[in-house]
Amino acid sequence: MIENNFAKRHIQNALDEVEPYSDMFILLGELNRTIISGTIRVIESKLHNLGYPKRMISRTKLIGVEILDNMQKHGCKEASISSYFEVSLNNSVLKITAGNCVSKTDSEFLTCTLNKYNAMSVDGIKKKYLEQLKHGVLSETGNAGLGLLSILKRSEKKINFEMEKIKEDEFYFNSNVILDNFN
Amino acid sequence: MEYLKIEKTDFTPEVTVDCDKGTISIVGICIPEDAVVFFEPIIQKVDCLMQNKRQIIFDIYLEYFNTGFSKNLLALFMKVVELDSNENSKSKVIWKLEEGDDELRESGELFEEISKLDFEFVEIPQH
Repeated sequence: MIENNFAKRHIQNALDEVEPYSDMFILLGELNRTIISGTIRVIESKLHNLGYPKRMISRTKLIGVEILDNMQKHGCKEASISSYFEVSLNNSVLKITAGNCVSKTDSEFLTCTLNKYNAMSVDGIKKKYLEQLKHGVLSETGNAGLGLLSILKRSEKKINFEMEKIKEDEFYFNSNVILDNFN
Repeated sequence: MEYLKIEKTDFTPEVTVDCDKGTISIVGICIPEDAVVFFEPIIQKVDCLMQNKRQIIFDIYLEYFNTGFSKNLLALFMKVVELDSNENSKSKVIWKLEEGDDELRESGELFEEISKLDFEFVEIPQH
């Protein structure tokens, strides 16, 4: 495993922003179900203690769990660089940032799908989500291609992302979602 | 007595299916690794439920869930809707949420819109 410079860079950028993030939660390393539920529990507790409204806490948990779920299920099993997950807060926004290694095939699929979804309107995303929930075919593990749509529908924002090549069949997928802070 | 109980874990909810009472209760965190496997025993119990009771009452109180769970929960609702139409009955979902949690209310409303099941939203006060 090599040092995660992607995570370091993003954390530094977050600290350098015009309106710096006053609170950050960062998770680095392998994911499993227990770590995912523990992470969500810590974030919930943090937001609750900061006085965030129930709706914002719930939205953050639902988006966060979808991102972590995708990272665990679709990330490279023998990744060169560890995955990371970060929730940063300031007075204006709550930002969820994530990074993990994906295969070349997944990198191409994600780039194509996210470019298509990011070009759609909020209403278009809602319609697509409903259609996929109603008619989407379940995979062997019960997923139906709803993860990205769910994140977009709940945040009502684009998923910002970049894909960086690490080696021939491995890319680092960095993404973030920004939620308006209505604390 | 036909009864199913699945104990809760850090990432799956407590589930009880009571065929005598005609109830299905799902309470807790819902992020199973394999949602199809998780729902299998519940789906199997629905037929037995409908043999005993004409109406099924769902008691749903979710903390948070992933989309794999959503899709399978909707499939469960749609199975009940299909059985309802065959039996001329009207099942119902009691969708519980913490007071002020409009995000989970909207999720319930989406299930209501798609399934056409009768939903009752119950806000649980937090202290």
